[in-house]
Amino acid sequence: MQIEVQHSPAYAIAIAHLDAGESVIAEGGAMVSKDSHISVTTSAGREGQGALSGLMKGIKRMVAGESFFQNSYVAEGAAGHVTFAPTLQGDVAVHELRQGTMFIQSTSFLCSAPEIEIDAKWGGARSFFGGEGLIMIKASGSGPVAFNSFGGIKEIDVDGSFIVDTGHIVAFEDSLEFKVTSFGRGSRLNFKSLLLGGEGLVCRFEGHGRLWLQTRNTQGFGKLLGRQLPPRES
Amino acid sequence: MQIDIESRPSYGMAVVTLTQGQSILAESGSMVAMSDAVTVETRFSGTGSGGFWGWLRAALTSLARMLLAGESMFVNHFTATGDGQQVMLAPEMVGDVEQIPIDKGREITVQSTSFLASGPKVSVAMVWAGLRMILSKEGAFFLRCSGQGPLLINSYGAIEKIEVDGAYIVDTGHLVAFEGDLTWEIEKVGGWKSTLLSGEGLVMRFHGKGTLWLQTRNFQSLISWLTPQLPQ
Repeated sequence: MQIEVQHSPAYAIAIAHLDAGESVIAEGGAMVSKDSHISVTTSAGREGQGALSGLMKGIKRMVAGESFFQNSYVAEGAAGHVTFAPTLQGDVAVHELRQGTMFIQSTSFLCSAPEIEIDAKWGGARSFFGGEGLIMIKASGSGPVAFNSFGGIKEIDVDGSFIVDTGHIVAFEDSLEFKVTSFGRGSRLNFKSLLLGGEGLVCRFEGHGRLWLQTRNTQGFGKLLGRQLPPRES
Repeated sequence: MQIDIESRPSYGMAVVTLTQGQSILAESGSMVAMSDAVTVETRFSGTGSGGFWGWLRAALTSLARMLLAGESMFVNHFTATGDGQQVMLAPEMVGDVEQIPIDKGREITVQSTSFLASGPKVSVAMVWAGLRMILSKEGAFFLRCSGQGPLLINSYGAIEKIEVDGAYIVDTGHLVAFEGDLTWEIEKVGGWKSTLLSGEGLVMRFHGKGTLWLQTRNFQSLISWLTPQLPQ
């Protein structure tokens, strides 16, 4: 399978090109179009796994901000393609895992090869206070994984230490250690920058590995619009 | 200092590469990511000299910037403690980022919400835009940037650069920045009938010779469009 990305960075889509018999797993609701001979099956877990395991996986995905069900698209008898798009405007990137593991910000998973195991992972209590999802998506195995961003995606090869605002993290390889910390923290805690610097919490990545960040922040954009819109009446 | 702008024009982000000791001042909340050997200091966005009175003046001008120009009271100073350190900066709004070099004799006046970052030798002052600017909801003050160094501005939509020679008219909601040599006045787009019915509202008439930066979308128009679409 090959995943091609088009219309980057403003309104990117992922096109999964399948050989006969190949399949692709995608987030529920992400399909834009497909060849007519490609069949769709919807399930919470994987084929060959028990119903309870599927249920648990579905619940975990839901907690992570993804949908309960995932769809599997199979190219029956002939090659074909399926196109996927995220909900928000923005970019899509593809990473080829080789017996590896990566973490994806919740809501950023788009589609992957069926050999990739998708699971949810606790991101640590402080990522919650960073305003982002409490849970991250853990993708492991071999094959391509496509994920989406709000804004453009910038790839960074970290070697040493690098700091990212929690609202701008899209994905990172598991070879990177991460720690959520306060903004402006040096040798001593910088309360002024933490409280007034407008950044809140940031994530410090350490080690050697790849990191993907997004050039916009959904929360920042939401707040900017929200200040101008009339209050919602419940 | 080297500045590269990526993901243009939809989601522009400035990648600022600093050598040891160099610094950049950015609007609070605009940092996306940074290298480890960068220190951060949060200061008032207004300026004042040392001592208590200087501090008070900085506090008051910062407060004025927040209340009158809709800007943040604070800016973050990022300083590199080694060579090749990077700071990535982006606005909250979708759209582009542009770099404008400022030099002696080249002042740039910026629509207040379009200011993103500047070099440490660029000073920023508020200038009165005009009483009618309040009516157009764009803020009655502009930010005038002078001194020497880079200025980073951001837009909603893409940025269109216009070389004005003579007179030129711009919708108030599409203005991003202009060179100091240009003078302006705010006026109705035509007669009262056009003002009320053309959907254009107020415009700025520029005079002189210089560069003008416009944005291809209008934030207030987006809000006016979104508001009636929302559920009650």
